[in-house]
Amino acid sequence: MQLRISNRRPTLSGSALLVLTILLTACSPLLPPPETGDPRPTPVREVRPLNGHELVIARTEDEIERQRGQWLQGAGTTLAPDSVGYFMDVQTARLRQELAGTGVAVERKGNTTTITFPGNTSFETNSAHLDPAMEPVLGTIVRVLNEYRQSLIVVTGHTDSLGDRGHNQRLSEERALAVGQQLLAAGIPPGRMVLIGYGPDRPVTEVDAPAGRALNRRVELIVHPLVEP
Amino acid sequence: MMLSRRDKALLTVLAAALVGILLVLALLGWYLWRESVVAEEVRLGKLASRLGEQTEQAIVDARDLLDHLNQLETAPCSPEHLGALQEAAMTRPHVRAIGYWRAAERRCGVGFIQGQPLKPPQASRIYDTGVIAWWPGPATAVGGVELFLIRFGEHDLAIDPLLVMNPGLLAEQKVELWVEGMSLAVHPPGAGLTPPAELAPGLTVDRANNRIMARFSLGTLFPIDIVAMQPLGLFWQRYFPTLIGAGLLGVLLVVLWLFAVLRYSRHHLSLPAELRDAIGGGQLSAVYQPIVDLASGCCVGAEALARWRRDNGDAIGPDVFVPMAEESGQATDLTLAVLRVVLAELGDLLRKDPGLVINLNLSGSDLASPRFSQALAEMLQAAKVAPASIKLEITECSLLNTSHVSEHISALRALGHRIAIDDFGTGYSSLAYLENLELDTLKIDKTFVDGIESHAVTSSVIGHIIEMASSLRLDIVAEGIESPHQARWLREQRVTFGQGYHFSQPLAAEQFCSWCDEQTGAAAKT
Repeated sequence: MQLRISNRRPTLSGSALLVLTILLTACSPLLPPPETGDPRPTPVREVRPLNGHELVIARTEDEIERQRGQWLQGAGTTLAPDSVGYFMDVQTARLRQELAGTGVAVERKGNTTTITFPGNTSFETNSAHLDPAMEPVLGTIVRVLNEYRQSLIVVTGHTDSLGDRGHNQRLSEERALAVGQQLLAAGIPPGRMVLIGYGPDRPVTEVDAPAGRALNRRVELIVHPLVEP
Repeated sequence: MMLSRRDKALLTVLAAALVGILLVLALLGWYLWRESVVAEEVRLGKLASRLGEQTEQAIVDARDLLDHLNQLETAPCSPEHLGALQEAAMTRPHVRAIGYWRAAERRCGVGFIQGQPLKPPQASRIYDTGVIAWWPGPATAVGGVELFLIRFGEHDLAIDPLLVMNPGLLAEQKVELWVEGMSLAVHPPGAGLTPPAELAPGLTVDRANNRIMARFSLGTLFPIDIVAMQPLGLFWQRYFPTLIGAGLLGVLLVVLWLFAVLRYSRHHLSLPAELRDAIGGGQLSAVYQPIVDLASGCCVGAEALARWRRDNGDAIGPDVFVPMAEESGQATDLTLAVLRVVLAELGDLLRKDPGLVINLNLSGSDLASPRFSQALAEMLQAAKVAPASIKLEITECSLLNTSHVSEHISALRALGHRIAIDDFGTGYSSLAYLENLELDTLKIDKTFVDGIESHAVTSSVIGHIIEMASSLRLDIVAEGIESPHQARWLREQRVTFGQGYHFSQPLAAEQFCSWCDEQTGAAAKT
């Protein structure tokens, strides 16, 4: 495996990348703001020290690309283009094998692998508090991801469609952050991760019923291969 | 165009024979086809389940082997590790390579894949168990052989799918094996077969392309479809022995059928059968042999003689069809048919001239038949002809061969008929016997009349006959008079009546009427 420096993507000055660094305190779970209707205009992006690491929260796809570029430049190893498909398949198979019975779905979509944490087992309504039962599952995922290292992990948070938009946006980012922190704690370097909150914009189902909304409250890890340029 | 009865019957028989043969052949064809198709279905079904089992075994074995290799505690790529891989590959002819991987990087392995590891870009199946499979395709080809790849954990197997299938089992069969709806193996390589989704289960006969296709689906662990194809020719070849056997059976059946048809036609196309048709269809005709008074030359009547002309124009003589009618039990019908003709042709004459007598020949069975006497009476009554105008001729032989003759004769005489003994002198009736019968006329057979030419011995016989008849007070009719000499001699012997070519040949009804007129006129003049 080769270590490559990537500088092919210029920094987009127009879109601001806000970096939120969260101080990881052992017993301070990130509690969501009160129920909907609270118009508290808290700025979402803050940078807080987190054991000296920085977790990046992206707002646009470009920012994800930038993070990928930075990770390539930094510690990332890359895949030969003709190995990508094979890599994604065997990684998907490995994840499925390891996650069998946990309710976590692993799907190869194009050249990415999506790991979906179902909302109904992971998050309560209006909560970014991760079910403690998910901790060993995340540990397993990290073990496999560290075996299949040539990837960038995009942690995406989603909410259901109930409630205020701004609030849901913040809630989705907090859900992503909750998972990101666990990944970090389990051994994924912060530079290999990008967090992004999509709010209610990317539902898995349009069904506006409790069951459908539960499916939409979720966090997905999207594993992007690092291909040699 | 009118067809004769016989031709119609012949056509019917031919049509029946043809229908029978076609029926037998069709039945045979159907039987053959069904037997062959069923047999072929069974054969291919067995083949398919064998192939399915082999395939399933190979896949399950591959999975178990990979599981086993993943659990080996030897150091990766150590000689022990490679030894274990080597052994596993050696014992499985269809396994072409075993590899050990870290993530997407092949570290070591055994088999032919050395330099370039196979990394197909898209797996065919990723199972929840962590097993990944790549179905054979261009991306899995090594040296022209498309391999079936299966990976589980850190190890993978490259399998030659054609070696999974027992080649001995396949022989010349074209077979394609589908697992989970994807083609796994084709034998022989490159044989383009129809996908199972486009085929009905079981056997399909594709006549357009002259081939037979079969699809069998098994679904124990994986859905497996087997598609087999073969040319129809091969199919027939395979079932040739059955064909021969069934063909012989068919020939036998056809022969039996023909035999039956022949028997039928013999029976129904025979002359007696034709005679029955002729009698029923009124195709018999009559001619009249005049009987004259030897003294005056006057016409006193005639003997009605039956004539039969067949549809094809052949005339059949009474010497043939009369005995035939008697043998086939149609004698009474024949007699009545002749009577019918007589009454139709000469009814007028007989009603006009009660002195004229027409002789009707009876057979022995008529005499004993109540039906005959009843029909006789009815017909005469209907035609308004007096019973005395119809004289009944009974041969001497039939007299002797019929029981209760005298009662029958008495009954007929009671109806008003007169009775003549025909062909007298050819039988052996004694005078005493004749005495017991109520007879009117005795007809001397032609053989005795013929003897008149040569005088001497026979003349004395005929003399005795004439004497006997006279003593019984019977009228005498001499038959077969052919010369004036005979006529004269008979006249001298006081024989009253005669018939024969000397007077006239047998005549059709109209000619007979005019001949009679002429003779009577001539006699009146003298």
